[in-house]
Formats: sequence, C-alpha cells, structure tokens
Amino acid sequence: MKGRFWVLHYISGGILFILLLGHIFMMHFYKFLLKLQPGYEPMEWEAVIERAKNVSLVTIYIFFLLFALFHGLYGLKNILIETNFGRRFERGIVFLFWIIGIILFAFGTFTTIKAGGAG
Amino acid sequence: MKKKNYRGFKAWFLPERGANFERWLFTLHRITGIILILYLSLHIFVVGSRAFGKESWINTMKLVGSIGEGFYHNLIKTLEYLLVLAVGFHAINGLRLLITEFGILLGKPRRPEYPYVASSLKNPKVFLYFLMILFFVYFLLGFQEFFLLK
Repeated sequence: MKGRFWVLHYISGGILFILLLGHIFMMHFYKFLLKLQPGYEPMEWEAVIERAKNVSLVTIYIFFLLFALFHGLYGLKNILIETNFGRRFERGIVFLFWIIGIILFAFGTFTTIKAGGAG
Repeated sequence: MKKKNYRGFKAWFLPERGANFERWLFTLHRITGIILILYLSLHIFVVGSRAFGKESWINTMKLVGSIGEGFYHNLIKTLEYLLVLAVGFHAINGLRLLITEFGILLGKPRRPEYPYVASSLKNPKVFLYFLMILFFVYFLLGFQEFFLLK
C-alpha cells in the first residue's frame, strides 16, 4: 500500500476544495447570506439541530470528515518524514497517525449521528 | 548511519538555490496546512459538544468565544478570519498544484518561431494571476463578512 496513498491525497484534495469552500461559505459567510435569505442563523441551536437531522447533509459531512482527516494527517506525515527525526521514526509516525485518525473519525461520526438522534 | 540529508523545516525558509514566488507559495501552503489540521482536530471536539445537549453547545460556544461580546470575542473573530484566509489560500493554491501535477494548461507543443514564448511557461503564470485575483475577491468577501456587516 505504501507509495500509493499520494493519489488519494490529490483526489481528497480536489473533493475538499468543493466541500470545504462550501462549508466556509455556509457557516462563516452567513451575514452575507442573511441579506439574501432573511432569518438565516447557522450557529443557533435550532439551526444546528435542524442540520443534524438532515440525513443527506450528515452523510456528506461524514465523508467530508473522512477526506479532511486523511488529507490533513497524510500531509502532516509528509512534512514530518522530510526531517531527520521523521525519517528515523517513519513507521511509528504512520502508526500513530492511523490511531489519531481513527479516534478523531470515530468521535466525529459519533457526535454527528448522536446530535441528529437526540435532537 | 547514512549522511543526514534532510533539511526539513529549515529548507522552507532558507531554500538552497534561492527562491521564486511559487517556492514561497509552497512554504505558505505547508504552514497553512499544519494550521488547518491542528484546527480540525480541535474543531471536531468543539462542534461535537452539540451531541450532549443545548446547554453543552451554548457553554462551549461561549468558552471558545464564538458567541458573546467584548475583547475576547473580537479577538476570536479576528483569528477566525485569519483561519478563513488560510483555508482560502490552501484551497486556491492546492487547485494550482493539482492543475500543475496533471499537466493541464500546458498547451500544445509547436514549432519555435521567433519571438518564441513557450506556452508551458506562460499559461501557468497567467493562471496564477487569475488565482491571485480570485483570492483577493475571497479576501474582500471575508473582510466584509467579519468586520463590516453586522
């Protein structure tokens, strides 16, 4: 498997370009959107729960999380193994990043699904 | 032990053969990348608080300064704007890297007639100017969002 993940790094990067800019626009450019659509408040509790109950949005966000974590951790690994320290402990770093990635993905998925169910 | 040949972080700021503009974009790309993955790790836990009820969500939003007033809130909002810029830079520069990697926009080879400007050298530059304008628009939109609109 080693030496093939860079393809996924590029593919996830391309997908993240769309997802992440969409996310930024939806969540952080909301005053601008408010002018187009009065009453739009993404950070209010009611709006948060409404989004959490939207199954297709939740599905997209779980994939978003997966791509973002892979892309980010793979990139960080690439940076680290270009140092003498990282080169020496490459296998350890890869192993550690898999663990971190799985924990973050599990927690993120758990809260995303639970928020929609508990509403 | 083999000769140590990895310059690591030093090479970002002191490139061995000098640096052109794209080389500094590389350095910025890596710095913003590190910031983004660290932010994402925290972000997962911060927005994860909504799974534990309304109280938990509002308390966390207050704790991180996302809602509220005063100096702390303004500071957080400013940092958030910088983060949004980091996202924009990383995304737009990443698009350039993808285009470069797959050899799009290089143009067709042709007979070098005087005055010859290779399209493979010219087109990526033109695209870079386009992306800089795109980033500038994004920068202005974000500035309006964070500091001008209320």
